[in-house]
Amino acid sequence: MSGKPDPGAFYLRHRDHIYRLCYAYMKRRADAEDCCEDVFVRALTRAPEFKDEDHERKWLTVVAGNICKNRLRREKLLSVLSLDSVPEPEAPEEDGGVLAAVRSLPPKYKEVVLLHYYEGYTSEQISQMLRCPASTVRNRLKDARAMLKELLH
Amino acid sequence: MDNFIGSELTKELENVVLSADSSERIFKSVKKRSAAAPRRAAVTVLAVLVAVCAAVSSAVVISDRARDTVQTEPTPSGSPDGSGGTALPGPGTRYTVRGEDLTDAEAGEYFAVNLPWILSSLSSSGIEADGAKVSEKGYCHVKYDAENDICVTDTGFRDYILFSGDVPVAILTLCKENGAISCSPAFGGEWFGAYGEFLKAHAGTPLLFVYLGSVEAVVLPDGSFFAVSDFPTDGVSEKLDYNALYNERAVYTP
Repeated sequence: MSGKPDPGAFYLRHRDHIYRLCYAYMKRRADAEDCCEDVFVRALTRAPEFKDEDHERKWLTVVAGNICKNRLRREKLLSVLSLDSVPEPEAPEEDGGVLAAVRSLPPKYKEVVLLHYYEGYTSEQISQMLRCPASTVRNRLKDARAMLKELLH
Repeated sequence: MDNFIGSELTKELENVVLSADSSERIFKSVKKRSAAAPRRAAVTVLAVLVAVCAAVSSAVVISDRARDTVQTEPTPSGSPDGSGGTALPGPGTRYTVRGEDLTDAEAGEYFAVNLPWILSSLSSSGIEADGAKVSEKGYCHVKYDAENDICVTDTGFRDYILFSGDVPVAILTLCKENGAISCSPAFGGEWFGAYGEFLKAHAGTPLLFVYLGSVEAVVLPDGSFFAVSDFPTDGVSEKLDYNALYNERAVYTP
């Protein structure tokens, strides 16, 4: 697999997967849609030459996570800085228990949970994707499981 | 616990899908934003060249037709719309063509190879694409840039309508860049039904495809127009000047 991706085919191939991932991170569909759009813009303007489909999917997955985490960080910073503002009530979404619990985790735990439990990557694969030690990934997963157990109790 | 988290997440997320309208909106925006990224660099280079060779700037504009012989009636607005709505070409408007030339013959060769996977992808997105046929003739768009009072026809982007029977189900935009052709489909919007009716009602009429600000319009020779995708038409005159906007590359006859 080489060469720049055909935009239409590329979008159709990954749209559902990327949107679901963004939705898992963000609390509102509109935010998930915005992040999804940003992922594809980044992919079509800055993506490397992909070695194979597996490389392509991993790259997109990591980019989606980074974009969503950045957006969440920005929102948190804005809500802290904006002393006079009243927090916007979250639009009710049709969430299940586990997804809502995962969403409430801090970003670094949310990320490894989604990569491991939803995407199916091993700790070693996640450590390569996130460029951190495999032991760090395993510890985060362990802590995340404990937090989820509390939340879902 | 591990199996539970994984299976529950999968179950909750598998029903999460983008609506057809949202998908189309996102893809259009992605196309626009990703196309603007490399072009900004090209515009910057051009601006530098124009600044260095000021005498060349007037020669950069390429007129692709004789304006005086075509315009036979005054432009409805004549000058940018004073109400703040979408401006229209006027007597001083310049005309230019840009982009690599993408011909219907090249498009035909592209579709001969690539249509099967395009149809397959559309089918998996819920579009009735089995046996669908793509129009042999395509069309570019004339874009009126009010800020610079210039009509630009970009020949590197050419749209082809995908028909299922006589119903349009998708618009396939081909882009030619550095000799390579790529395809970006638009589909699923609720406006496709009305668009199909409009095309049927005007079979045999040379329709002109234009962008005026954010409005994508299909203009009839009498100046009336159909706003594609239900774009808001606030501020656009009831009639558009077909002749002032005309470029044969942007014409499609159903």
